Amino acid sequence: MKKISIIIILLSFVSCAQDGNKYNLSEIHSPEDLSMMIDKMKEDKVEMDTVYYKEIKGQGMHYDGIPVSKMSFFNENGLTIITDSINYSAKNLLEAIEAKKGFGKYEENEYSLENIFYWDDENENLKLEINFVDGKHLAKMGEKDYAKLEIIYPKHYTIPLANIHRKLSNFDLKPEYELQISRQNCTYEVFLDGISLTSVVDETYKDSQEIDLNTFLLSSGEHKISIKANSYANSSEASYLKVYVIKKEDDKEVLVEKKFTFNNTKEHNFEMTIDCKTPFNLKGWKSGKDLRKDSLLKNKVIALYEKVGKSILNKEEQTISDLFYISNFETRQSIYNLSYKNSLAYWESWLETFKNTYKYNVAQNFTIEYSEDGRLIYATPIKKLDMLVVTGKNYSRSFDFYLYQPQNSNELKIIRE
Amino acid sequence: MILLKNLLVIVLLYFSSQSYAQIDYKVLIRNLEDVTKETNLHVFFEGLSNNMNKNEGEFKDERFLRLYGVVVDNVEFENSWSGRSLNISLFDEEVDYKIFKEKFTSLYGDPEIDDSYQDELYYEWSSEENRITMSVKLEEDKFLKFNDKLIIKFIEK
Repeated sequence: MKKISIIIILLSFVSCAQDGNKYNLSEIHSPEDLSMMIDKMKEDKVEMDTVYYKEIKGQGMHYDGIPVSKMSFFNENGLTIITDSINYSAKNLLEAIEAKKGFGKYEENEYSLENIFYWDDENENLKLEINFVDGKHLAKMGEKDYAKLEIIYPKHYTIPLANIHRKLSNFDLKPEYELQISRQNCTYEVFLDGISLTSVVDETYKDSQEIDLNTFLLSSGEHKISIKANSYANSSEASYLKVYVIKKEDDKEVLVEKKFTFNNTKEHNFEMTIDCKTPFNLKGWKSGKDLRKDSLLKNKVIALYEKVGKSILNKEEQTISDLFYISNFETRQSIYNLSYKNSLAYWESWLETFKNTYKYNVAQNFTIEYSEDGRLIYATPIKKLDMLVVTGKNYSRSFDFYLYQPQNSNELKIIRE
Repeated sequence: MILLKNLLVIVLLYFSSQSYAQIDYKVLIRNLEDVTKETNLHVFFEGLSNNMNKNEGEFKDERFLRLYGVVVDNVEFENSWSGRSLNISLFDEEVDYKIFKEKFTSLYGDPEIDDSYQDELYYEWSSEENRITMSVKLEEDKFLKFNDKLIIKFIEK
């Protein structure tokens, strides 16, 4: 009995000690958590400044035991915490976050003397700013140094197109293949495995460019690069193309280095083969139908662009997600873009388009380019810049796609944008 | 005795509810004097957030950077045809200046000193393997600050 009384006394002592330290802000991980914490504080009649922005000072707030002098929040999607300037608060907060999330990205601004750490994930984005008072630097932080922690809770969407990053594979090796080309006195068109990647048709285009090859590489193996070039008719100087194919991994490796010189106006064809080792193996248009003899192809192209236009106008989120999912998935896998931020930004660009569009226009007059095997096509409008243009008040967005037709389907599908 | 035991249990319970698994920072410290021209820098900085590729990179978090026991601000690496170099930013502490001067002199002998500019001293230590340069700004013949980065250049033979 004596033992129990002692424990009860000690427990009440501990409870009293905790009473002044009762709002642990590290337990907030979502807008809902934040709302609950605020409600709890309101119930406890904690003083709050809510006139211009919501601000709470002291009153038992802490972050894993580190005293917090102020918390503010403009809406429920995030909050800002400023620690007390005592007891190595800045150092302790940095170490508390590192213990949970690992080492963040560190940026030191030598001009503003800001020391900022970032941790970004799908659920919360943290920005921690260390302010030195009696400390000198991160290896010698002072007792009075304080920290400002900004936490943002990114929006979540359930639509598959906004969650592609969850399905992408992360590879150890991420080779990126790039073609660098510069020209003098000529026009040219570059093809990868028979697919036209770029076309430089007159002198108004820039004289050199870098072309990403990964987006059109479906898997490892030998791939053919071909270039069609024509000298300018009125030029007396020699024409040339300088071509480099670079493999970028940890280091840059030059796979091809060529200079093609020519000086008459007939079309010149240059070919080279590269051996690529990609960690991904994508379906792409591999099993597509040969569309070269499809008499209904023009109608199918128009039908596809019409479908996209109508879906935008009617704000059909699921249809847009279905139409663009595979193309976006494969493109991002090929360039190793696993960022959730990219998924979010891409989907929000669609929401923006839904909101702003009140009409669309599909080009009816166009030519079709085919890949060498006829499985992939690209429609180029005549007298217009793009196949589909959606517009609204002070708003316009245009679309052009690489299309293919799966064996078991009569409709074209979008496979690259 | 029993009371003390109970108290200890409660105190432990209290602190365990408030704390988190701490990182052992001491074992993560990297000593830049251990870097050679052959060191794989990805391996060297493994476990820490860094910005390195094969031929260049930087590491900025001074909590983990030491050169002969001295905390340094940041380090930039560059590998080129002429060899690897480490460009090290220092904190402007006179005591650090003295430590480096003594350490490099004990390792490589007396430096070449260029004092041709007013209020500046430029030191250079050379050996078969590397060349180290350090310069300081003076005020009334006393250390004011480091003038530039400390550079350790590994010589390709």
